[in-house]
Amino acid sequence: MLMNYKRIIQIVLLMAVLVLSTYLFKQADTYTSSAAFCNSCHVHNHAQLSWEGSTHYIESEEELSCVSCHLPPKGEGFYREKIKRGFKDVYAYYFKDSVDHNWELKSRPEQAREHTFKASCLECHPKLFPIQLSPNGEIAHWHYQQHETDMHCIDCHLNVGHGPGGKASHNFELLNTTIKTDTLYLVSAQIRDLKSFTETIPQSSIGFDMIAIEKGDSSFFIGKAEVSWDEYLLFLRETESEGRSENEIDGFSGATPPWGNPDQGWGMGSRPAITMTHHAASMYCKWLSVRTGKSYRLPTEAEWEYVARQVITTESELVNTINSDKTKTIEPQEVSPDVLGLHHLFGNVKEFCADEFEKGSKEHVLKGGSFKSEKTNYRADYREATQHDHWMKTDPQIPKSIWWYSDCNDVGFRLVLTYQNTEKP
Amino acid sequence: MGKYSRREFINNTLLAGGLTLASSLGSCKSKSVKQPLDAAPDGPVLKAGLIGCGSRGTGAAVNYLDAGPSLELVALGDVFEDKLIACRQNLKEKKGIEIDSEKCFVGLDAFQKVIDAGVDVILLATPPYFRPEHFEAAVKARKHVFMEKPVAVDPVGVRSILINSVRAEELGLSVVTGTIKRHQADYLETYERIKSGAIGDIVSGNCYYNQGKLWHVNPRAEWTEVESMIRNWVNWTWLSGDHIVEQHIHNLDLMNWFIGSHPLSATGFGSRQRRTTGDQFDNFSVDYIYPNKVHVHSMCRQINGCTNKVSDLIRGTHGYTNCENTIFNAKGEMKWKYELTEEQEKDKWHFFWRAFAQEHIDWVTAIRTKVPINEGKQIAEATLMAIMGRISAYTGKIVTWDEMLNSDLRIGPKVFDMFTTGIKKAIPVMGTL
Repeated sequence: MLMNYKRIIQIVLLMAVLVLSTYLFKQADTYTSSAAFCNSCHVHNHAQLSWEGSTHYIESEEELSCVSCHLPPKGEGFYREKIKRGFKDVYAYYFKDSVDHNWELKSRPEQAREHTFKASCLECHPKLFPIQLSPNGEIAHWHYQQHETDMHCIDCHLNVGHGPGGKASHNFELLNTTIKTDTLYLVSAQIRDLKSFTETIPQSSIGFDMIAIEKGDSSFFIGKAEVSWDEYLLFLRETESEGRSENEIDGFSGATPPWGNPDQGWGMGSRPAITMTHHAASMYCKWLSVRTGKSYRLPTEAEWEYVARQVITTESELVNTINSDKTKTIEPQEVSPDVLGLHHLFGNVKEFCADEFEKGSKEHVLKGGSFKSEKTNYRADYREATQHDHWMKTDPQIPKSIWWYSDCNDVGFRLVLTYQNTEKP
Repeated sequence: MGKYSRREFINNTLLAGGLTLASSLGSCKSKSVKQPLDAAPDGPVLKAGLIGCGSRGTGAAVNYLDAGPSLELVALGDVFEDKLIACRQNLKEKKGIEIDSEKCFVGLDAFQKVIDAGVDVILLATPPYFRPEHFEAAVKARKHVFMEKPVAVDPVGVRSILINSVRAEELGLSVVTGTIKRHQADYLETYERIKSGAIGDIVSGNCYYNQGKLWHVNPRAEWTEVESMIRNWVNWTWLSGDHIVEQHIHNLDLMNWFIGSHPLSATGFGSRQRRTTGDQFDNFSVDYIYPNKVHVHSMCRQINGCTNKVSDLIRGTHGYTNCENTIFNAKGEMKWKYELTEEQEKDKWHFFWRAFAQEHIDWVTAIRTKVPINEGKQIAEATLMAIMGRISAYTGKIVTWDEMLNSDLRIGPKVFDMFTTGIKKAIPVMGTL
């Protein structure tokens, strides 16, 4: 009888412990999943500020916390990820200095994918085609549906959780930027001999430097810097095809407005123009040739390498001439020119060459690496291929743009001009 | 509907269905085949609106009303008043119902008025050019939809159907389409056997829709150009999709169904030998290539005086089938045939007519049992397959599925009213496009 009594007490105690543990676990789980808890350790105040400026913070009817997006939903690996990331955070908190973290790098789509869970997006937004979705949104979501395994919601909706701006759309603003008129060139440059010169585009304020490269009968000029946004925007404004009436159309079929910000928010000006396709870069050369009365073109791979071999002999020589910021492009004048006076032949952006990557391939040669590249790839002989389809993955338009890559932000180009020696031997 | 009245037909088929079921118990019918229901279950009244009051629309309305108890038709819409009046009169005579004149709408915007007329379900039976717009409006208004095949005339339209099919699914709506073979008992039974490996792996297919010329209506002086075209819609590609889309889709959908995929490319040709109306071809021959290099040869023709044939054949590693009711081994010996009752034996169109009713029974059953069915994707894929074949024949070039899926091709006027003129009428010339 006494034994039975003891047994009952044991069972009751055990149950009480279980209930209490469950309660405490739930309380701890709730507390450690709150935004307050995240912020107690996390030292990136800018993340909290950008969160408070985001559409999810401002418009959401539910109170969301960091884990709503940065952990998967319960039942889909929530606790596994919470433990894994918890340990990582504790380690980082005690053994690393937050100043050393490259927050901008972590915010880039490819890294943001690692700490934002698609399943969590879908948990709150299970409908791909809500009734109020716009026609553009329908096509974009339809495109997502066709590439569901490759795509993440944040490929298009990157800023909905942090920072203002949410919906991706055509960037018509880009083409309406005010044009500087303080300087107006009237004629293009005259070339008399193989000497570096400054090209000026008539009826514009745009000029750029071309460096002479001696190569016997095949001498040429090469752009001192990669084609800048200032230069490229003039082309876009003069040729963009959307919204123009038929009688305005000239010999060029120009670019349509890009989807989103082609400069990635890094700024334009003298920074290299980026994200244009190889076709767009080639069309730019044609347009510029007509505007200047010369024959500008993309360099051949051989020309590019010829210049590169003069610029680089040892890796150490590159130190002051490359972009050391691994997150974005910089302005050319932020680095020293190389021995030929060129800026950023290596690094900053990968540069298109005219050549196909392989015979019959639709991909083209890229040279010079970009700000993202390993230093060991800053070599004259290092060649990469464009990845057209891969770089168009999130372009939601039908048909896809032939002018803008939606998923590549480190390609641009440098101009070449053949030297025409008019003197009779 | 031929010699039977709808009621007699249903009564007979209910009996026949019962007999079929009974006889099947003693036969070697596939156990996994769900036998078609004889009627939809009862439930709260479902009010329907019909958009497109031609003969198929009127037929679909009757099929719907016969599908089970507590089903009502309360609104009608058509571009033309005479079509609407005839439909209203037919329904009065056949079903004894009078549609309230306040819920009869005429004009290009009639579809929206029907959708907004307090209905629960929508029947879409206009020419296919209008289907994407009407389907989108119906789904956005949260209506269950029955829609006739095909569902678009161009890739842009197909994409709209695909998107709104997913939307319908997300809203829990049921969507059934007019590809009747998928609701036909003999095809269903044959399909289950093929799926279970009765002919091994599928290696090829052939399908035929060879028939005579369809109808046309001579234009009248009092009709505008648009009106003449719409009244002659089976003769104009922008309205019908051409006959490979409008008619042959039955076979093409069947191929997709049995093979379990859509084709990846099409190489076709066709021409206009005898047709004097509209801008369509009157014959097509298309080689479709599916995954694993499975080829399907499709041909369709609308020319009088030739051998007519509407049938299918699918060949596997161990035999072949007509897809309808018979399976053969590789030597051509019959391995299995769908068992018919005496009554079914007498009427060779039994299953065909029955299927028109069955699709509505299945639709209403899905709505009332709250187990939605959605045939939007499959009909969109069959439509795109047919469009792919048409474009290959018009251009003389290989056309791929990805090209079609991502094409911005839209045919017919984007916006028009009954007085619009100058609609493109050029007949395609292969090799020049």
